[in-house]
Amino acid sequence: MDDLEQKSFEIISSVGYAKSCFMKAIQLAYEEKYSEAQKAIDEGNEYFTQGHIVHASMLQQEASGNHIMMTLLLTHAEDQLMSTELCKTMANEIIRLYKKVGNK
Amino acid sequence: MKKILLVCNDGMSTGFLTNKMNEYIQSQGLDYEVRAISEMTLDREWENSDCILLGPQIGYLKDSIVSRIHNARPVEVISPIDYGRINAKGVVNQALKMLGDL
Repeated sequence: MDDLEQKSFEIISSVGYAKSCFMKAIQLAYEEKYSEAQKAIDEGNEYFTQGHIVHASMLQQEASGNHIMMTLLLTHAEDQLMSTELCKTMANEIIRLYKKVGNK
Repeated sequence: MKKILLVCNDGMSTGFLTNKMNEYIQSQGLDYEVRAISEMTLDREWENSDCILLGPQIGYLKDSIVSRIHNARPVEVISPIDYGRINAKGVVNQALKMLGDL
């Protein structure tokens, strides 16, 4: 396993787990378990940041002139990163919405 | 031969892990087969397996998957640490424990 594969997998694994946390948070908010939902969001944020740090270090490496070879696995990792970022934003909004509806 | 099924969104990252796990199984002379599928094809694939491991990215679907397969196979989420490190040995051992073989 080379370094590029390892880093791609680190991103896929951390942001993948983060996405699962964000989806779990939505489910918990639906059940009106808001503090548990917040815990799931916090856990998701932690894992998301881990993946983001790996990706940022790769960007810095490329910016410093050390070219990174594009592979399908890395494309997949970036795809997961993007979709999880969207999932995170939407999870926070959906939880706000459930709270608003629940308080009526 | 017992069959271990890995499930994720698209079967790509688990496909990668599958190769490493099968290599490890062969190197140890064990009698198991690992396959990766996408979550969308689970309903027609699960009967052809002995245990099911989910990628961490679909961990939130565990409860619904257990009911989709009528609780007929053990289902666990792969540890995100083993997954991120592509720790084939760790994931194989997790499956063997689920199957009661370790």
